[in-house]
Amino acid sequence: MIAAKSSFLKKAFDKDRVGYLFILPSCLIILVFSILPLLASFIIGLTDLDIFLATPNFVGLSNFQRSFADARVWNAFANTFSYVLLTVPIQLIIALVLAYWLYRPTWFNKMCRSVFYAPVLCSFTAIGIMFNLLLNSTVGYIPYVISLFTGRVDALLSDVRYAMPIIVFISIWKSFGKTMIILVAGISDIPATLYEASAIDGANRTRQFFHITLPNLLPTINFTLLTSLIGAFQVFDVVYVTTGGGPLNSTETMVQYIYYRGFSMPYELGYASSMAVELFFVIAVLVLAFKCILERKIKNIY
Amino acid sequence: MKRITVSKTMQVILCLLILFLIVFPFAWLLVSTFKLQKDIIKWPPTFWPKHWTFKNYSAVFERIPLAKYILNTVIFAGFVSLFSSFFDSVAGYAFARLDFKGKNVIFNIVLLTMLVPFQIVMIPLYIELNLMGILNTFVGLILPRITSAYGIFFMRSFFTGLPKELQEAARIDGMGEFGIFAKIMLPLCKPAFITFFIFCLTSNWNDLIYPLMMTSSTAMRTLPAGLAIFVGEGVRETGPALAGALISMLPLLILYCAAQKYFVEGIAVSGMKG
Amino acid sequence: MKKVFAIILTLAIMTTVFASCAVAEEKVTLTFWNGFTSTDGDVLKEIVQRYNETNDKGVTIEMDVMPWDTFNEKLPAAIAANQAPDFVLCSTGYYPSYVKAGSFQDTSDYYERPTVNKDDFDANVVEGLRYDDLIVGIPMQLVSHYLFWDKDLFAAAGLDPEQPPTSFDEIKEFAAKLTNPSQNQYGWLIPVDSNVVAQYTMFAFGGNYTDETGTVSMLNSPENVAAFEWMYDVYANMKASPTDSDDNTYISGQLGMFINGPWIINGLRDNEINFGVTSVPAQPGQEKQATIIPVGFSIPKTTSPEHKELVYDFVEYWNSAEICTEWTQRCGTPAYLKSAQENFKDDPITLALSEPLSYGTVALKKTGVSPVARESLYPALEEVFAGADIQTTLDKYNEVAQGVLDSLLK
Repeated sequence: MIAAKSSFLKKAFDKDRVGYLFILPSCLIILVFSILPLLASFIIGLTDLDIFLATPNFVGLSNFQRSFADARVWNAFANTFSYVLLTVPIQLIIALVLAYWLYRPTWFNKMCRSVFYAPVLCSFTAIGIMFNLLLNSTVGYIPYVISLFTGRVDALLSDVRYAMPIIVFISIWKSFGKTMIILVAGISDIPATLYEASAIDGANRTRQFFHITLPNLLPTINFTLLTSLIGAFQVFDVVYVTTGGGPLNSTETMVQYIYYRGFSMPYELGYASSMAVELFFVIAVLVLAFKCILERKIKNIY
Repeated sequence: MKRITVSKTMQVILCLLILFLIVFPFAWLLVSTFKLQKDIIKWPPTFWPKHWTFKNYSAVFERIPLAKYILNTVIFAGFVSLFSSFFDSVAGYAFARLDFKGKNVIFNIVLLTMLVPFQIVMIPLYIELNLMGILNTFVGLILPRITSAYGIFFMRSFFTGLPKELQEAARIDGMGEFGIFAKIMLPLCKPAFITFFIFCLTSNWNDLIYPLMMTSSTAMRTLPAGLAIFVGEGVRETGPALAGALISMLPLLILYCAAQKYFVEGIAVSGMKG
Repeated sequence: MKKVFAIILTLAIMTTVFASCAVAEEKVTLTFWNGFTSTDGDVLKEIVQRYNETNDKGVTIEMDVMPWDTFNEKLPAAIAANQAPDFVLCSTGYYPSYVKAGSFQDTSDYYERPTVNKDDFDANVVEGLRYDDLIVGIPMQLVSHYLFWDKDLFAAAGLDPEQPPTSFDEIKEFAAKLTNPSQNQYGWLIPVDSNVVAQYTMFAFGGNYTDETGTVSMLNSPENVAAFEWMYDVYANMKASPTDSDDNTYISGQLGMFINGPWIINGLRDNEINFGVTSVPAQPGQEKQATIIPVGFSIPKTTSPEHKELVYDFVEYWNSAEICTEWTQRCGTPAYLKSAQENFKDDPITLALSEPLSYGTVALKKTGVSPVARESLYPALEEVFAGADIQTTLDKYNEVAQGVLDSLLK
């Protein structure tokens, strides 16, 4: 008995199996509190359940059919894509350039880095209160300053032309600091000898950036790009606290629309879940494709 | 040499410009918390208050049990971050440095759990916590969050970058895998640990909807949820809302300043690799 | 390593202790959810606290306040999970879904209590809280909407500060005089993300969302077309309305006139605005109309009969002339108890606020206003203001509205 047990333990601590023990607690929690609710919502997507959870009827794929014919779904997908295409690259480029400029621990650089990180620490509730008042066209300071130059007061968040760009600005403003900090760490880790060697070859800083910094930073970029891609596809908070999706649904994103369908009358949780499933597959395909490409590139380099 | 100075100057000017863009809204917020309501909401708006007042702050202190809410937030966000940093390090290490069958598949599945918006799993999760009998308890609030796909991904990226030789040398010395992790790898990952701890603390500290949904008692309210009472339907108490927004930012800002040495400098020492 | 585990173990034990503290208690405690954030929520809290200290049944009411959005996300799930509070506050706008799901108990037996005098309640309000055959709520407060005007801006524009407009023609005329782009000052406000102003404009021209049955959409009726033409004129041609607004806009002192609820009064006073308030007028030849939004105490189906009785005790306390008067004085909503109305005979503002009580109705009682407004009215307003043809736009959204009504009535 004891012998059997100890051989079992031995097996568990075997080099090729001990990994399972390491990931066991996390995987258990993720299974119970992420994957189970996720599967539940996949199933809910096949029903006409509302949030009163009373009378679920199995409706097959009709929720999906409905969503293909729903103009607001297409609009929301289009808005989400334009948000992703704007925020993810711009934020990455800004963060990358700043990280490259500021990675050396001088006094000025450290100060800049700390300040740039400050908005990351704030909640979207607080940011929403702040920017709504600053941008309000009847009492806001920013329209006032603009009016000093243009001579007239323009509405900002309620104008179809400005609403999405402002939302993109606020979310980059809020989160480029986090990307920058991660990239600073990545750059600092590149061996100084590589730079010294290329300096002897006569490379200037721009050349160094493209030939040394960027390739060596790919693993870190991989992480930040994937996580910000996932975050951007699920954008909700920044829209919720500013425009709420308007004007003319021009800032309504997928999660915004899913939330609206599921949590306002008539509370169609089934339909909302089916759209969440669609969103899930769209992100999954893109993220896994990106991950494959990036990780293959990384393998080629190392 | 001259070109370098020109581009250096450009760099500094651009950095200063971004500094201004970041600082201005905060400065405006700070100054506005000392304004009377009628000076905040008027046209033309002014930057400086006409009369300085502490009324907005006293309103926040009078109407919200601030200490209690901060304590709740510390319990919730603090425990979540402690547990999560630990479990995510362990799992991230395994995904980065140990070989076992199905590793990539399992990791991709973990990654996929990040793809579902919380709003959609919130009702199933609520029902699940209720079935487990831990709804409205701190355990129920903390347990679902003690590990996160983001954290595992983050830690995995970190451990991938550590030199392989360390691990192999220890193995030759006959050290077990747990020993290698605890005695060699864990101390090395202290900076990443702290960085992720702050990331995790920030997102949970600022989370509004999750703690509101999973608890039904004012005694368990967290800070962001408590501040929501200043933004009512139809009625807006702008002054206190601004003061509340500022107060909610302060604890993290202070903590960030204190931990900065480990935070930014820290991760830079040993690095991050995918 | 041992140290880390020790720390984590201690933490785990501590959390369990915290958790069990939250569960164990042996008093009669009634739980009470509502969405009264902001200052009126403070008054409510104070009154509840007073009841907790003074009631002789040993009842403690534990009130949990959350934003209405969260309230409506959580309550249905809580009822399904048997975790619902003993009673809640719910406005008539949310009734259709809750009643259809059978979430609330009938409360008609409240009025059968020997100590309750049903005649003291404004009949219109009691009736407003009925849905089909179910008395879903017992009155807690009542709001309607009013025309507010800024007396100082009136005087500055050469208008009589004591004479509010008496028709929508006059509103347009006054709005033109009150609008001053160089001062960022406007005569009127038509928000595109709120149903209130558009609704009252439709009323003023004799229009409405639906026919009398509340089941047939009438958004493209000639009366509503006239109302939209009026709004387009004021908004786009005269530019007399700001194009974006939030709750701060009303108290900024930049608006000559506007329609809003009684909650705005405290904000106006705080901002030292010299305002007048009256009921919203109609066009000549049309009858004045208004909507009322009663909020009632409702009891989820999960509440036990014993607790229901204890809730009724509190509701009786609330519906005393004394508390009703206090609530009216401090929160500005009109008193719906006849015994309390006596106290406001000499108060012109409260009298003005009470006026719509006699003729106001609950809008779209069967389906609720918000789904119809969000799906059809808001986009119609936005498109018309952006220059779309009024008749075609309203035809299009009339169909949308009909679809929404049908799906809700099914």
